[in-house]
Amino acid sequence: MATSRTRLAEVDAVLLGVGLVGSIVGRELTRAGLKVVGLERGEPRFTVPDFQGPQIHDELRYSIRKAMMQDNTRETVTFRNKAADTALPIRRWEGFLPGTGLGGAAVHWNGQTYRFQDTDFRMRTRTNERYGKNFLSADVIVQDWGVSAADMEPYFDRFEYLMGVSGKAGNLKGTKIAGGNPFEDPRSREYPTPPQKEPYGSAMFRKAAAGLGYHPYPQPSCNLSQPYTNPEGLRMETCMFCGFCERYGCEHYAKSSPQTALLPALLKDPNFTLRTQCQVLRINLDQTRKQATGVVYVDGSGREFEQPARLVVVGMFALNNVRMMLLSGIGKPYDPAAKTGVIGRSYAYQTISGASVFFDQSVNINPFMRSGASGTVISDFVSDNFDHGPLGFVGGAYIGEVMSHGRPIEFHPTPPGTPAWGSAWKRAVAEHYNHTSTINVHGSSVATTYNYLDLDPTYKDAWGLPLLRMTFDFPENDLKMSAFLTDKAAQIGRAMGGRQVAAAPRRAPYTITQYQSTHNTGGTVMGSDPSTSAVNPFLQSWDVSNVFVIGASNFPQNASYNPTDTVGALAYRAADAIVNRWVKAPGPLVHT
Amino acid sequence: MKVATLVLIAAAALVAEGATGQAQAPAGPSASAGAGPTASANRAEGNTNPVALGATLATQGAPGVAPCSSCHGAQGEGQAAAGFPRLAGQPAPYLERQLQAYAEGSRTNSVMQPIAKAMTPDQRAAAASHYASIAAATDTAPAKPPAASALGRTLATVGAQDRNLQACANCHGPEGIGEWATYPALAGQHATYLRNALSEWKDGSRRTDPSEQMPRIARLLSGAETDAVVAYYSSLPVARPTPPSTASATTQKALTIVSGPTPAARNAPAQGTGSEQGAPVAGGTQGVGGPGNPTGPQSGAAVVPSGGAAASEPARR
Repeated sequence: MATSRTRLAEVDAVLLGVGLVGSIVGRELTRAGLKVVGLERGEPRFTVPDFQGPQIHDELRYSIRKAMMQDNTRETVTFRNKAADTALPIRRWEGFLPGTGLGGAAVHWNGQTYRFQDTDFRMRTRTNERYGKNFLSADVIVQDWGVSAADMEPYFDRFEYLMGVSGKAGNLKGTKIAGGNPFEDPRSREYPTPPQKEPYGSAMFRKAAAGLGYHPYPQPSCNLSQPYTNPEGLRMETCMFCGFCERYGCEHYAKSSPQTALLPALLKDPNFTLRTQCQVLRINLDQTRKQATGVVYVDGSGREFEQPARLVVVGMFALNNVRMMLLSGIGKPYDPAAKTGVIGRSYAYQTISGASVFFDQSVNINPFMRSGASGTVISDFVSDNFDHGPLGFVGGAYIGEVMSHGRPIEFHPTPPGTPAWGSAWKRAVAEHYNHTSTINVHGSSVATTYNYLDLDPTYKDAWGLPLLRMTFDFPENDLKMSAFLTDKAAQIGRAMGGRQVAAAPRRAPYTITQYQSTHNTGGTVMGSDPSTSAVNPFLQSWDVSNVFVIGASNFPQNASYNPTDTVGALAYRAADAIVNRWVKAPGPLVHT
Repeated sequence: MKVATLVLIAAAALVAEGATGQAQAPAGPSASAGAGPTASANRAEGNTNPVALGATLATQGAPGVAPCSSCHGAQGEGQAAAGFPRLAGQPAPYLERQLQAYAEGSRTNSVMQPIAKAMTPDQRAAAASHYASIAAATDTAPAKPPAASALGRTLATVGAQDRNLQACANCHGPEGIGEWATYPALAGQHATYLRNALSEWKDGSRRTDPSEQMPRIARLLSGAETDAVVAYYSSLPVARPTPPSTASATTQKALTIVSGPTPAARNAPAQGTGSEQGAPVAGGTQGVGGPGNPTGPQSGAAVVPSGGAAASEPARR
């Protein structure tokens, strides 16, 4: 550890993390004339030379050894299912995979790009109105976000046109459009690019789902269907369906990411300075503890620096956002016994299950010929698009044939009853590899009083700071939802003509040893009430008004859809508030 | 419960048949999903041996069709000086698609267009199969290729970040070996042909890439860079992409939906058997249902938490 600390010249704003959020906010702030420093703990990386074939298709390196993920020998998370257990450090990422490096997780994401619905943003109000105040058990926390879909629409639009999303509108300014998602809230214009080509398995899903009376539509994708030049003047290219998307960078400039959609413009701006391999230790506060004065970080050679700044923007991924607030002493930590405090409260996840559809040998699925976000889905069971009254749970899932690959190490479809190893297993894999389709049930997650994040009392990181501790198990509400909707997925699988369909709902306990999702949410949630939220609806800390915290950590509970579109829109909304309101009159943007 | 499910499915299947063709189901992209390589395979079924038919075309031609070998050589080795490409060992679907493109005019060449137009679809498929079946050997001494430069190798294997130019190797394979069934091998291809091909991409006369990647790439290359890439690939030893090992990979069942569960499904174990924690038994990771195959190396690998205090002491800097 450094013995002396170098104090640098003050800048207008410092970004903690240069991933999707950092790149968006950095671009908006520098364009407005602010001097911005971006601190990224990982390494710089670019399409050329870092994401080029054949090395980028090294499945062992990227999928199994997880080359793009946070180094958990230096920083990890401790985990337990319930507060009575002792949490232990996650020594190898399996259940969820926090990314690191320039561009963050938006480099190795799949590109599934959905807008959360108005019924998600107003979930508490909606639930009370439709099902009554006592519909949920007392330990379930469901809150409104303090924004509506109409508030968010311009920012969704902005983000989607930045990324060039390939999709089909289902609701243009209130007019329903055939072939799109009929459940979506009104959007102001069509997607920037048309949907990707529909794979064979997805086409079978579409036909089967439509036959059952559902409303299939092409999954909105950031693997682009055609060349696209975004408003930053950056051109992205057509996805080649290589089958190496999630956990990999894109060699073709075809996946929207900070590297393709923003960074080339941002890095040219003289107002912006990027510093990589810089580990931020904490946000400094003044004596009143109402204002941040900057941050302390350690660079790649171990030297310690203080970077004074008038504004601090935290965009480090949901889990790291929460930890940074706790390490810096901003906001009251959540106390699960007293049920008070906000930082670390309302941690939620994604409740995922699936169905495997086994076809006979004449049906060739060609699973290797997929993109990260190609596929066909239904939203009939998303959010509050169906009546929960008789079901006894809230939330839902999109169901879709959204396979993203058939990679040799990871994809080994075998029907129930197949031995787990040996020659019979090998024969079964060979027999079923090209004749199996999988249906995804991508379910929501409610927050509860007993699932939360705090600082671990025992374990520390490479810099001597406490690790984040996760206490989580699946709430009964979500297990009920999963059981109901996994059954729906199996029905669709049978209607697809599968010889056999194998499906099982999500079951407790949650395990971190099996990959499910990296959609970790909550912990610095947004809202209109400082006693139940960490940031206001502009993502400004209630306690320290020159700190903005942005990411899926803002979600009061997690919705059915993938989070990235909503995170991107929130980042644009916060940047708009900073540039057009905070800069002119620094101070709280919302008074209570 | 189970009975109710079956009834529901049976009813739904009826709906499915009734709904076929209605506007609600977007028809566009799916139509092409299963078609691709099917057509030629089905057509070829009528011939006892398309490769033999192709060999006859290559050596003897047909009415209005000059023998291919008169330009492309007895073994499909092409002619370096004239810029006639080496065809031996190239993927059959790729070759067939080029003949179709010449016939349709999406690729232009004063010699090839009349020939391709005169060929029947069966003849095009047969000629493609014939040349794909020839091992790509250096059966004739290629003209001495231009010297490969570091620039050519860099562009081919790394690309250029300053103009969003990805490496050729991403699609055409390491050392230009190609990739069945779409991407032709570039290794050992004649320099004049490669230069002409890039020129056709550049000027827009070749319109056979629906992704528009190749026209863009060709336009991003300067004259010197084009020469360097051409020199690099033409100097590599001749190689061929590996064809699929079984013929079944090119056949595809038409999109038909059977009504309700098959007997096999009806007799299958209850839902959830063979699956762990809700994981689909068919594996895949992100995107395909999240969880990996319970028997696969990822989730199957027992990660034994070692506990203890060691975790708190990672390498201090």
